[in-house]
Amino acid sequence: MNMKFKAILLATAMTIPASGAYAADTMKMIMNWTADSAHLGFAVAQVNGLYEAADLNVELEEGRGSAVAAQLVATGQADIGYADAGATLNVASQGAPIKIISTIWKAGQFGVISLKSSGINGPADLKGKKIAVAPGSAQASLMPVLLAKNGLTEDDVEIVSAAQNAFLGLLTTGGVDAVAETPENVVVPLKGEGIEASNMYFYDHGVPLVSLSLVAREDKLQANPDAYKRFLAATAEGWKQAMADPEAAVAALRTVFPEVGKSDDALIQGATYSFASVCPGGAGDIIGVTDTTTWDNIYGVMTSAMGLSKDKPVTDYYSLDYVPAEPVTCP
Amino acid sequence: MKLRATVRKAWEPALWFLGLLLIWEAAVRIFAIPGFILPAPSVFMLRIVQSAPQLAYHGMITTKLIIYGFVAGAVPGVALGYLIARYSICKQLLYPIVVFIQGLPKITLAPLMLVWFGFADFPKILLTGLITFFPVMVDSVAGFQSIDPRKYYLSKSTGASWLQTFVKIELPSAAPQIFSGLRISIVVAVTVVIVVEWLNSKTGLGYLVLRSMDGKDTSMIFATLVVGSLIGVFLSGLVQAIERALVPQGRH
Repeated sequence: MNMKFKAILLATAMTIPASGAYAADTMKMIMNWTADSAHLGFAVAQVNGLYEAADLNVELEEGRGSAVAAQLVATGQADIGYADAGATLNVASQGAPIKIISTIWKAGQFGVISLKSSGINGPADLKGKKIAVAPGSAQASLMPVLLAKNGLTEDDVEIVSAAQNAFLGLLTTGGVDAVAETPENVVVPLKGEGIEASNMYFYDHGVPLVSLSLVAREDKLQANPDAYKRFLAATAEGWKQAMADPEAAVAALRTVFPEVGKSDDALIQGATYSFASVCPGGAGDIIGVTDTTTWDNIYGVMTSAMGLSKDKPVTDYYSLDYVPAEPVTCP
Repeated sequence: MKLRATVRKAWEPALWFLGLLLIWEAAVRIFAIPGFILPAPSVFMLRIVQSAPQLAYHGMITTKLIIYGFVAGAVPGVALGYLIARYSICKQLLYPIVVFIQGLPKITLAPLMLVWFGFADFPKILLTGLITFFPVMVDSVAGFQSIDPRKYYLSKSTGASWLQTFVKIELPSAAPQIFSGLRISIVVAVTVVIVVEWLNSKTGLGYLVLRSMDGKDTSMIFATLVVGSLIGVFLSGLVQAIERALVPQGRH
């Protein structure tokens, strides 16, 4: 553990009331899905003892979708949720007393993926193409926004509904020209089969949305703000250490989640995409923090194109009060 | 002759099944179908051997849930079947509600149940019970309604109590139809538990399928499904064995 992180933890620990100083705070985090490279930083924080050093007893639980994770936090069954920001805002806009307290994947990995041979290099190339989208997914909401932002309409393409698990087969058999997915789930396994694929991020083409974020319930935040601050500090450090040694991070993931089905190679390749989403600004970017200007832009996209209600200001949906006072930056 | 007939009865379907697998194997090899789209039977059979401890661990969890869910559906199914068959007021009040509940696509409640109850076993058992309940209830109603009225005269003339009548006359008479429902429900329970685990679990064969899907591990998906089918065959055989032991052959 580096000295700077120790200093952060010490400073945070000094704010804890004396009565609570000796009992570790138990925190259960429900994840967006089963463990993969999107969760490397948490596994590293767990295995390297960063949570323990922060006086936290953390349980990482695999989930079944971002909306479910946000709802489990809202119903108090989990202390923290790791969920897509769009899904979280939708749950929060319906009255759930939850807030985003840190953005881990500051740039969403969602993109439109096609085989290299298809000649799709930018949004304009999508005209006349058949694109598979999983119904109910975040990508299903983002696709019309991507098209609109790039001068296309839904009539310019043929959007077909398909389960995400069918995407590889659909692409390789020519059933569709492109799929809306994360590169880790399509580009990486195709590469494993010797097939090259191209990816265009929504984020880079006019849809600046943050993705996987940490979510907590307002009353729990007020009851024990220090525990959440320590959790965010340890988590940010976990991601930093994961980026410094991806192989060790994959080993940590397997330690915490022995049932992970992906190969080490696939996880290492996925880690490249995952780290790029954690640090879209490159070296020096602050882990876990999205500034207010970006939040305003995201809110604009969500209210104008994705049906989010304008009843509440964007500041009701997130808080920067719990991120580390001393920023943890990308290597 | 009887032994030869029995052996033939057992081996014929097995040979057909083996033939099907050979055609599948040949097709995958001849057309060079990639493993991530459709694995050859030899590949996922080998995978069953290689991953035996993992499959056995999750298979046991699934089997336990199948039995719990099956019992949770079968016991109320028989009880309600009896009430509906014997008392017209129950038929008028309960049957429409039961049919309404049966019409609901209950499996879609699995994600919501995860939000309500977390990853506990209760929602999985509840969903399995709700889905397996109906075939048992329908066959139980038919069974209890088909009892020869003369048996009731006999019961009354001997001064038998309600419990004696139920145990000695009604249950044995309705047993063939009840077991008919149970045979359907046990197979349905296997599918339901695996689907519910897929949607809402951290263990079990359904969870293993989900993990394999995430890892694009198609051979493991097939290996898991084969194990699930074998569990179904075993439990179905078990129900038939219990039926043979409890219900005299003449009643079939």
